[in-house]
Amino acid sequence: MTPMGFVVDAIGLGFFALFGGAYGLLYAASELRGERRLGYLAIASYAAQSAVLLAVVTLSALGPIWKVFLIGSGIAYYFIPRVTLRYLKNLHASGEIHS
Amino acid sequence: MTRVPSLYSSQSLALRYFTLSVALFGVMIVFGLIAATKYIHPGFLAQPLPFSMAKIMHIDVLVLWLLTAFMGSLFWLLPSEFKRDLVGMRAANVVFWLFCITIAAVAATFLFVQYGPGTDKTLWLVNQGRKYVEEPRWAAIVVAIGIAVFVYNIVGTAIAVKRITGVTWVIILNLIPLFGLYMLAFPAMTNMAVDQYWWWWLVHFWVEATWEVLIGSIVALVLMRVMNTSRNVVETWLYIEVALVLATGVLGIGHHYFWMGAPKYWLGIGGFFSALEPLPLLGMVIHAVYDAGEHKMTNQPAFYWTMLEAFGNFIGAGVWGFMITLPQINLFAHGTQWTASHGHLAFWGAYGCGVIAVIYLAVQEAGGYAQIGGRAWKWAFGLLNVGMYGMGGSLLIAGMAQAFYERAIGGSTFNAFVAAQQTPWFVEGIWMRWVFGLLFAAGYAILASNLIAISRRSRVAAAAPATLAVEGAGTR
Repeated sequence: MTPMGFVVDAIGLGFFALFGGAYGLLYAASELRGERRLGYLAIASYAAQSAVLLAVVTLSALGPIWKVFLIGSGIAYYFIPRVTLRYLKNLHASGEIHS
Repeated sequence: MTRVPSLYSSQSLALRYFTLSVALFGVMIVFGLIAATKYIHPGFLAQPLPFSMAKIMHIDVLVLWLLTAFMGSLFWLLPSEFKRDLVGMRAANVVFWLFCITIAAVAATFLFVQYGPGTDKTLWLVNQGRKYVEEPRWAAIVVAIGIAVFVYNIVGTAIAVKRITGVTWVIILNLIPLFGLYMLAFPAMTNMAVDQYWWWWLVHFWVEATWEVLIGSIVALVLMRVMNTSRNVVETWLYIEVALVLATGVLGIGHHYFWMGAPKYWLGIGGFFSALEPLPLLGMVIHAVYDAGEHKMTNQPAFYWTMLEAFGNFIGAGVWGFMITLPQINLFAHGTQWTASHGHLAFWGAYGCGVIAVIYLAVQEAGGYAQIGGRAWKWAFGLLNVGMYGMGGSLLIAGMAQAFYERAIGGSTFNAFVAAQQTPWFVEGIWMRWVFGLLFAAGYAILASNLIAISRRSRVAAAAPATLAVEGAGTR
């Protein structure tokens, strides 16, 4: 790993997590508010995260195990907001019945 | 309408803890600014206060303001859970004053004595010499006794009422490692690697395990009050959060093991599990968005600080942590201003925002306000966060320069260390940190004055509730 490569990799990993968070935030907001525009922004955020992932996987000097881990993380990022939101809706529905 | 309620004695004590906590928050900022100034002008206050002492004061008081706020939060929130006052309040009040005296005595020792000859006497009376737990041994014993009394206050009450909710179970089970891990502050091992190994257990497991669970439980109790979220929902989510945080945080300790001689396999284990940490934090962000859309709030500042806790935790611990946690990166970034940047943002997001939310909730409930709002808290909120994220960004730039020039190019030699400190990236980053530090301090001043103003209004309301009810003081 070159000195510049390590800095670029670190920045890439930061953006990877940041875009993942933006996707989760925008996805949840679009679902709750029913705003299609936010939905598009969520998709754009996930696309940006995937682009960063692709760049890190193809260009960085990280070991192959870490690249597989990052790909797995990228897939998990896609599902976490959807699964969490669905679970929360069900939980609140049952919570309101019980309380 | 303002109706001042009667308080449980534990809640009166909680208000004293919050007062102490806010004061310590200010002390932490003062020493942070002094340390930041020393980076720019190394001779600033060099004789009376060396950099190492300013840093000790900054980070030890950080631990104290959060710890006292946690204690205040539980003293404030738990009587409602138990439907009665906590037991052993006389001892708890004694402990509070013991803490005050001890903090003052230790601060005086650090400021005016500073060093000893390195004998047993130094260990007992001056400094134990381990970062974050530098307090001399006599003071560490007082802290241990204080925490033991605190555990008794909560566990004893649970036994007395014979009824424990899900949240209080989590709190009680968490108090065991919280107390037990503090015992690791005592051994004085001569083998550096072994000493560091156990020291990391204390620091890492407090910050990334027991404190995370504690703040999760506190926020769960706050959500029920601020947004009327149902207990069933809050407790279920708390169990999931605790499971995920512990699953990633416990083995994530390995990301600290790069520099201390632990076996090599820890590189992979630590990197893998700490890299998973953003995932549960992402779940918290989704939950925060959901709660913000679903529930009505009666306390704007508490609500916004609680929301920021989820986002700030994701940014500070998740994003900033993810940048530096993989072994190939951590090798260069560990121990630079980059990790200081991560530390500032993670502590702020994970803990600072959460305890400020509880303090706002407490002043609202203590004053009997139906709603709480106004403009001052917004200024405090804005300045504190612009200041903190500005500091985090500035330290990130300085830290990247340090990791790049000193570590990756220079090979961590002393010459490389000095050369990295002279690069424009580092110098300008350190300057910008100082500027944003001033903004943060301004935000703190407004926060403290806002909390004092709300508390004073409630005291006046207690004396003449009818008059203020007409004026609507403190309510919006």
